[in-house]
Amino acid sequence: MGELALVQSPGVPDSPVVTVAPGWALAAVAILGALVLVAGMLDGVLSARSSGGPGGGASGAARPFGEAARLMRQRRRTTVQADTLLWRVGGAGLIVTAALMVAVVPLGRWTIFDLDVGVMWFNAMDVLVWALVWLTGWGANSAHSLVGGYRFLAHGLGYELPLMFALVAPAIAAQSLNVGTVAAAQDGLWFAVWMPVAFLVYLLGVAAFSVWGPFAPALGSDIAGGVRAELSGVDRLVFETGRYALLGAGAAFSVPMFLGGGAGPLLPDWAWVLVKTLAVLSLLVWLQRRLPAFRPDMFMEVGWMVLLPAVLVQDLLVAVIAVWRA
Amino acid sequence: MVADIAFWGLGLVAVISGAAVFYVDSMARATYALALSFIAVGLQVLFLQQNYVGVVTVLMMVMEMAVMAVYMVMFMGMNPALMPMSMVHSNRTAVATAVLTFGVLAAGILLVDWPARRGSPPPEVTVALGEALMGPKMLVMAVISPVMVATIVAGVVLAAHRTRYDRFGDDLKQRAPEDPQPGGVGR
Amino acid sequence: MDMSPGGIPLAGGGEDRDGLEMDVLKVRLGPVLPYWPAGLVLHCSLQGDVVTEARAEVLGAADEAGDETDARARALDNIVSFLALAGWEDAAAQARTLRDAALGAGEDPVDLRGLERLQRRVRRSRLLRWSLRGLRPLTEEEVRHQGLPADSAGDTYDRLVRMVDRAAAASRLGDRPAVRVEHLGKLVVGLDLAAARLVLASLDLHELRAHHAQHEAAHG
Repeated sequence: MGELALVQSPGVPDSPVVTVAPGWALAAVAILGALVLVAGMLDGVLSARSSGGPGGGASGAARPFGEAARLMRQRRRTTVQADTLLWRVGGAGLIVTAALMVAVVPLGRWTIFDLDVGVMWFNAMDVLVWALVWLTGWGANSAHSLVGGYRFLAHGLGYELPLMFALVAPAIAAQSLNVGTVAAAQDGLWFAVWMPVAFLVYLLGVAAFSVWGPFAPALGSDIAGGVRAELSGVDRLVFETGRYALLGAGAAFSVPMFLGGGAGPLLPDWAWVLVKTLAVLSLLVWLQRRLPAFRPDMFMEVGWMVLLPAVLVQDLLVAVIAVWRA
Repeated sequence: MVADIAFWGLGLVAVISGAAVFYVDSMARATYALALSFIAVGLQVLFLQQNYVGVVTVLMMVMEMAVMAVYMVMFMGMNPALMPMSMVHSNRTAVATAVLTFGVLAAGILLVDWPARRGSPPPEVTVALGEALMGPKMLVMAVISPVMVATIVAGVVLAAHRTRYDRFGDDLKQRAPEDPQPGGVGR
Repeated sequence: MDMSPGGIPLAGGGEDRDGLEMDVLKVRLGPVLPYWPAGLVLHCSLQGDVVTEARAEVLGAADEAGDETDARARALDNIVSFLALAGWEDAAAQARTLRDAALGAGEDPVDLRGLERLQRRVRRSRLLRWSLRGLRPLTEEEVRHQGLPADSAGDTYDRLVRMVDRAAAASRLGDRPAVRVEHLGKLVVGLDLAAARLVLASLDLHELRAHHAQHEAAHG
C-alpha cells in the first residue's frame, strides 16, 4: 500500500511573507469586524447627509449600532414550508466566506495562510457567494426572495468571468499565484497604475459579490428586499454583516493585488495595508449611493461584450510586457 | 496527526454528503449536498499538495452546482420548491450496479501489488501532474478545446428559433437588432 | 400523494416565451407595497420573474382630488418611487426631501431651486438613461387607445424625464387625468418584475379609476 503524501502546511519556498501562529486568525477576524463597522458608519453618515435629516451626518454614524440593537430584539419571522437548513446556511455563510478571503491577505509581512495559490483561493471563495446568496433566496420559500436569488445569479454570469480574468493580470505580471509574491512584485510601480482596466473590473467584481450598489437588484426594493425579504432579526443582521464583511475583504484583497501591498513612506507596512484598505472601502461605500442599479438583463451583455474583451486585452498586454521584461 | 484526522474527516464528509444526494427529497438539497461533497474532495486534494487542483475543484464545482440548481428547479417538472420528491429511479438496477462496481474496485485495491515509491516527488507536483497527464497530448488538447466551444456555439445557433434575419432584417442592414429582450450594449 | 404541501397548491406548467415548458406562479402585487400606486392590485402569472399575464384592479375608494400642494407632493412622491425602484438611493433621498418640503407648512413650500437641481441630476445621469432607454416604448396611437395621459408616449426614460419636468415646472400643476386600471395589465406583460415596476412607476399615476363594463374611448 502506498502512503499519502500528507503535509503539515502548504509552505511556499522563499515566500516574502511570514506565516503567523493560527491564533492570530482572531486578530484577522477582529480587523474584518472593524472594517464592517467603519463601512456601516460611513454608509450611515452618507445616508443621513443625503436625506438631510436633523443632526446631519453625525447621527448617521450611530446607525449601524441602532440597527443592530433593533434587529437583535426583533422576533424571528417564519414562512410556510421554508427550507430552514439551506436558508440559514446561505445567510450565515457570507461572513464565513469573507473571513476565509482575508485569511490569504498579508498584513504587511504577516499572513495567516500562506497558500501558494492564494489568488485562486480568493476566487473560489467569491464563487461560494453565488451559492450562498441563491440559497438565502431559495430557503424562505417566497416568490420575492427567490426572484432576488435568480437576479444575483444573472449578475453572477455577467461579472464572474471578467473578475476572474482581472485577477489573472497581476498573477501574470508577478508570475505567481501567491498573494505575498504578487504584492512584492510591485516594487515601485503599483499594478493599479499600469493595469487600470483590470483594477476597475476588479472593483466592479467586489461590489458585485457583495451585492452592493449598482449590483443590488437582488436586494431591490421592487421585490420587497429581494433575497432578504423574509429575513428578520438576527438572521438579517448576520446577512447584512456578511455583505459588509465581503466588501471589506474585497477591499483588503485589492491592496496586495493592485496597490503595492504594504509599500509606502513613513508608516510601517501593516499600517499602510490598513490605510489603503480603508481608502478602497470608503470609495466603494461612497459609490453605492451615487449610481442607479445595473439591471441584470442589461448588464449581462455589458459583462460579456465589453468587460470580458477589455480584461482579456489587458491580460494580453500584461503577458507581453512580462515576457519582454523577463 | 491533525492533518491525518482532517484528511479522513473530509473523506467522510465527502462520502456521506454524496450519499445524501439520493436520500434527501428536494432538488435544492440534492444539488447542494453534491456541492458539499465536491468541496470536501477539493479540500482533500489540498492535503495531497495539489493546491491548484484542489482550489480549482472547489471553484468550478460550486459554480456549476449553483447554476445546475437553477436548471433543476426550472425544468424538472412539478414544483420542486414545495413538493418532496424522490431523488432515485431504477432503484434496484442502480443498487446492484453500485455494489458490483464497489466490489470490483475494492478487490482491485486490495489484490493489486502496489509499486513502491522510487525517488522523491518533484518540488512542483502540480506541474509534474500536468505534464504526466497532458504532456505528449498537449496539441490534441489545444485543438479539442476550441472545437468543443465551437460545437456548443453551433448547437445554440441551430437550436435558436430566431435567426439573424429576424434580428437584422432581410438584407441584414438594420443597425440595432430587434430582440424580444434587448441587451445592454445596444449593438 | 398530497398535492398541496403546506396548504400551497403546486404551480402549473406552461410554455415560456422560448417555447420551453416552465412553471407558472400566480403572484399578487399590491395593494400595499413600497413604491407602489396605492390601492392597485396586479394579479400576475410569473414564469421565473417574467410576467406572462397580468390583470389589474383597484381596491378602496378613489382619493378625492386634492389641492395644488397635494398635486405637487404626489408628483414628487412618484419620482421618489421611481428613483428608489431604479436603485438610485441618493437621488431618491433628494426627491424625498423636496416632497417633504412641499407638504410642509412653510411660507414657500415649493423649492424651485431644489427641483431644478433634481431635474439636472436626473437628466445628466448617463447610467440611468442607459438602463431605461427602449424599455416598453409606447406610440401615441397606443397611448390614446389605452386611455393613458397623452404625455406617456415614448420609452420609460422619456416618461421619467417628462415626469420630472412636470414636477419642476414653476407654474401650477394641472390635474393629471385618471387612468383606467384595466389597461395597466397589458403594459407589463412580457417584462420581468423589475422592468414592470419601472414601467408602472413611469406612468406617474395620480388617480386610478376602477374597471367599468362599458368601453368608451376616453380621448377623441
